[in-house]
Amino acid sequence: MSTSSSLLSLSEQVRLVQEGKISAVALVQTQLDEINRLNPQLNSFITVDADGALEQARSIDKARENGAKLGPLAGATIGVKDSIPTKGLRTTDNSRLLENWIPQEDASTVKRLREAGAIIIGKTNLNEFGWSRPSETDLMPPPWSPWNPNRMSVGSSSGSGAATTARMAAATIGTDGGGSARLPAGAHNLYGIKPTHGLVSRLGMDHNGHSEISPLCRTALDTALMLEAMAGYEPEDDMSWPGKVPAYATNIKADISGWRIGIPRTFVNSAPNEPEVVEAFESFLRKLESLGCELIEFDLRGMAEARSANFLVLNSEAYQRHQKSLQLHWNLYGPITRVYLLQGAFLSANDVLNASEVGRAFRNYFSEILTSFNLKAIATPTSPFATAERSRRPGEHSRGINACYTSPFNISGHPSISLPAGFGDAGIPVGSMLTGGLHDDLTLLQLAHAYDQTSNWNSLVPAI
Amino acid sequence: MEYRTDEQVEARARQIVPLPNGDIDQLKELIDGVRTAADLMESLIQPFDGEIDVSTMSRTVEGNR
Repeated sequence: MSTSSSLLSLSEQVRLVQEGKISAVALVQTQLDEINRLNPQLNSFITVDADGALEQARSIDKARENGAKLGPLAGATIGVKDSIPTKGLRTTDNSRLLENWIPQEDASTVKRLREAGAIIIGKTNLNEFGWSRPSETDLMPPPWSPWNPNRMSVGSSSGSGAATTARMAAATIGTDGGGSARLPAGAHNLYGIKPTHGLVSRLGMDHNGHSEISPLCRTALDTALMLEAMAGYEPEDDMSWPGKVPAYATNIKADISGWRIGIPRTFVNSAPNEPEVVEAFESFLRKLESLGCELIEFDLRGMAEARSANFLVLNSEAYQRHQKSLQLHWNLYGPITRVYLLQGAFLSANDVLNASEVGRAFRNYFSEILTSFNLKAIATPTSPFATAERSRRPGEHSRGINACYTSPFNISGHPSISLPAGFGDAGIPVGSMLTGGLHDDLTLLQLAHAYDQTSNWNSLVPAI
Repeated sequence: MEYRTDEQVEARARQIVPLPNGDIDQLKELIDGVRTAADLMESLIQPFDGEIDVSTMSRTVEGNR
């Protein structure tokens, strides 16, 4: 069972460090003990930076002893998806191609986390290049769910989800190009927000138009603290949003009574939702009602088309990035990943531009829907499926059914958050999702916080 | 999308990479999905004076109206 300080939320850990009631070194050592205990069974981390984390912790403790003002994430241990470059720390993308790559620079979001006092404790497992399906032949075998270690963790930010829920880190970051952070958040009893496009810069990573860097956290407040630290304008990033980042954590408390939440009932009912998903979603809606929200059923169009558009753009970008390496190092790629990566080679420029145009139309349409129905957000399940195995059935996986709720909002750029909502028969958590207006991430965090305050999901700990 | 048949898909793949025979079937299945999606996108594009109208698009996961 996890030890006491690792059971605390990120915000509680930071408060104790700032008040001098626990040292950052003790906190890090507790997390390292948890990693040593659990990681051999769960494969959540690919690389653990014990020495680096302890060194960062010592400098925070020294700064506090010297009376320096500590950052808003001081002492918080963060796991970083191994597709996000970390200076001096091996970054493999779970690929033999990058098995020994040590980046010279942090990605901008990692830099921002460090500046906020976060301690990067290690690199979390993922599907190879965040793509395809995991297999035992990957550089690092697939992570297993802490909620049922006989089941694979849902990805692609699978190790990030597993590490946070198993209390091996206070929080983690993942990436979400079609649901790759929200899906594992839902499947690990976590909060995971895909921020509005451009809010969190991808500077220092591969260029990808619709994949966002996302925090995965145990509470809504933790999510707000993380997002606030990660967000901000990067002038060298042509996709970065130049607006002022709101104080998410300070403003997270809100009276949400009377807030209108849209339910795209026809669309939700058309998905192959497993019974546990339906039960969790209806329970989630009842909770929102009990908090005073007004539920509005409405027709939402174009979700299937937007999912297809996102799928084409993602495939095209992935192939563009890998085209030379696929030719030169075909045998270094995993056998499933390399075939998936080839899909983009069959698309013409016109195919991709058509998809982008459909994505733009859906973005404008969805923004208009929110305005015309005066909705604060819409609610859907996060995934139709309650286990990774079910979501990876070849026919459904290749058609993106597992991402039917999530991926339309990648190409549209709207912020979207997965919240804990229940558990399936296999003991794996299932999530529900709220999606809101562009650059109104705060509203989603406020809804999530109100929900979190009256739920007990964040107190549940996997029995491992 | 230019690649309409299995033969065209296989020839294109072999132009690029040393694809083992065992991977061909999986690739063909994936490209079926890509082709369907690309054709769908093309069908939604309007003449020069028209806009894509999402309000007439599907209401279901399978793309039914």
